[in-house]
Amino acid sequence: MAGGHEHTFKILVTGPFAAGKTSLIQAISQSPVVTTEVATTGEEAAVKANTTVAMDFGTFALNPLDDSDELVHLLMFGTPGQERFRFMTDILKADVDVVTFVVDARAPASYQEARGMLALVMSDLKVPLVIAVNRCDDPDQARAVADYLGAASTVPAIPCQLIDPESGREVVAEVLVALLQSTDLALVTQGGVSCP
Amino acid sequence: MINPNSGATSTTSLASLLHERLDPQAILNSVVRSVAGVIGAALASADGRSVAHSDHLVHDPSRAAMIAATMGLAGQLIGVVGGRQLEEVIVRSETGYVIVYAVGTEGVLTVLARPSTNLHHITTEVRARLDSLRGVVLGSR
Repeated sequence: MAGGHEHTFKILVTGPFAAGKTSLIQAISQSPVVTTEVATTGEEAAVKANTTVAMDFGTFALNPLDDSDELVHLLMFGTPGQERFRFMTDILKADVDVVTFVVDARAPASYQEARGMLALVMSDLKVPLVIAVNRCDDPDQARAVADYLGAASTVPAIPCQLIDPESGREVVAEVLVALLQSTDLALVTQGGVSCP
Repeated sequence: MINPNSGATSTTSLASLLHERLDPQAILNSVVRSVAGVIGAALASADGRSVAHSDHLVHDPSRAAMIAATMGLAGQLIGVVGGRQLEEVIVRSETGYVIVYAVGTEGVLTVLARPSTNLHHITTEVRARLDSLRGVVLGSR
């Protein structure tokens, strides 16, 4: 394309078991999502039927509004949620540009584990963080959950319903804003963020 | 003429056979014993929970998770060659092999072996036990 540049960013989508990580990637990916889901066993089977054992992968492209705009590709890498797969998070977090941490507002029993996970994943990263509070419509509740997780007040906390692609796009928009603020990109020159 | 001793022997053999068919550790030990060079064998669910391991292998939950992750990715990779059903993954280094077999879609069997081991023999022995191993995995769910 004339005038613009292409930029590719790596987004890590992580969070506790059954928070909605795969749902987020499936909601917003513009390419067929690579998933590694298998049947869940043990006590976890009572929570959901399938679980990610290695990674999810999806993509999102922000198309330029005109020839002078930048073309932005997001590569989204989703992690498994269980502690036993933590090594996958360590692998997938390399060279990440933004961390999207997903937590289920209706699973308060997962908050404590999520708090530890968030601290661990961000401990050696200096990149923007976005918190997607799934199954939540209330911004104040989303903020309260993010606070409980130990996120700074400047970290966006997005209430969302990740079974709804439109809601997932709101999370993407916040990721793009976080990228804008952390880079010198001029991604959005008019009309806000363009979503598919 | 009936030899009572032969009957006792048969009973013992049957008990031994049943034990080997039903006890997961016995099945895994039999895999290890059946092929020279095999060091150990471990069974896990496809979602990364350890089910059983042979003697001399330490219990290592992270091994089960790594194997499950490997099989999860390999299950996607076979699509590159148009495959649908993953059968096995072989990891080779100078110190030996890690061979992972799909046990149905529900489980994964890991076999550790020395570099000189005959992989064909391992596969033959494993295939003879896949139904029993699948039963163990399904029973552990």
